[in-house]
Amino acid sequence: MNTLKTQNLGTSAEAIKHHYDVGNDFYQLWLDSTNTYSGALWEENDANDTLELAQLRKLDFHINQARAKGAKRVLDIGCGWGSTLKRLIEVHDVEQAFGLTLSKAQAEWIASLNLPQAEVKLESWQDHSPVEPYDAIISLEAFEHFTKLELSHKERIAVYRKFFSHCHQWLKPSGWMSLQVSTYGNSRREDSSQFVFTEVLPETDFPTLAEIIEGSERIFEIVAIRNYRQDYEYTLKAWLSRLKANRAAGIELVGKEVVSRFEKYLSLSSICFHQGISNLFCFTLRRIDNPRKDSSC
Amino acid sequence: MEIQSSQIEQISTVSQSSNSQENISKKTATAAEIQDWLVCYLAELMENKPDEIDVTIPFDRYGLDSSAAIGMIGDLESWIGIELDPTLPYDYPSIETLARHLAEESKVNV
Repeated sequence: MNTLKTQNLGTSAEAIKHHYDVGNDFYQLWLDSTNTYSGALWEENDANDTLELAQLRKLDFHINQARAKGAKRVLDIGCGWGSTLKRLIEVHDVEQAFGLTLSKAQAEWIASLNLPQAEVKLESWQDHSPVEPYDAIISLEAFEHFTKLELSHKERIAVYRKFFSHCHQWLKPSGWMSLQVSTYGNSRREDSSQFVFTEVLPETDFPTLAEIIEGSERIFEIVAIRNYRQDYEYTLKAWLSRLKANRAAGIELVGKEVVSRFEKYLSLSSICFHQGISNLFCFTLRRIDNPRKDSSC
Repeated sequence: MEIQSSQIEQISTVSQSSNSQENISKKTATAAEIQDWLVCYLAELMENKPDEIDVTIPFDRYGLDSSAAIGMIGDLESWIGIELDPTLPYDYPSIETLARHLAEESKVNV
């Protein structure tokens, strides 16, 4: 195992608060009714598709990929406002759904959902220590918070390998994981938007596809990868459209500067996914039960 | 159009139009009217005279980065009175093609 210190190399709780604790009421104005804040999966050529249906389709996709249906214990790393936990329990007969978040506003929101089978912890994946192993793990767009822009390649890979090693330890033998991550596409890290990674999502950075593969190698077997960047473009445009439609209410809640910042962020991101500057990858991963050790051990 | 933030402070999608033209709703704007608006907008942004703007040259050749493109679409949206996608300047990458597309769209939306 790599011995580089990886603690605190990701997004701090303060930086998470800056983005996610702007106000639950504000996010409700432009997210769908499930309050899902990650790229949805749209039905191609279906003019009647809606943001809410696309989000539920995405949740079901990951739940299926992680083989979580009917499972006893499922973990959601970076659980947002709890839509995956709710879906796992209410539709997919999961006995206990566990969520990790660094956002106090999100944890309080989930506590108000009245889901006795859900348990949410306000803690980093780095501090998580389950009492029993999980049957499946899902993580949707939390990976971007595991490292910061200024890290070296070596530090970044060490964090990613630590993450996948933790998931490996937490999963039962032959357990599955479904991961959704925004990555750099036809772009370089040094070209990344200062606006996005300082004003909107401080202390955050995208990985490249190669870095995720290097981070998971000999820990998880990659069973499927698919790029859903166009789906993310549609999602970002749907969010932007809803925010514009509710601009006055948004300004009332959080002020003009914050609304302007989010509109700019959603616009810029939709251009990035439209142009392939960014990609959105979904990974289906299976735990390697007898991993070959790293040569550095 | 590289993702840069150099002009992000100058142009805001929520702020009032920086264009000197009157900020009016034009649901049935013609291609010529939209083209004139874009020429004036780019001329002002680039500190050029309107007659120095070539409507067939791609936006990125004028140095319009993604932040500036977002500002332009935001201001055009306020003027034309219909919601516009921020990716339009990438699908219709010159004044001429964008104006023609928007004129057709605004007819459909009336």
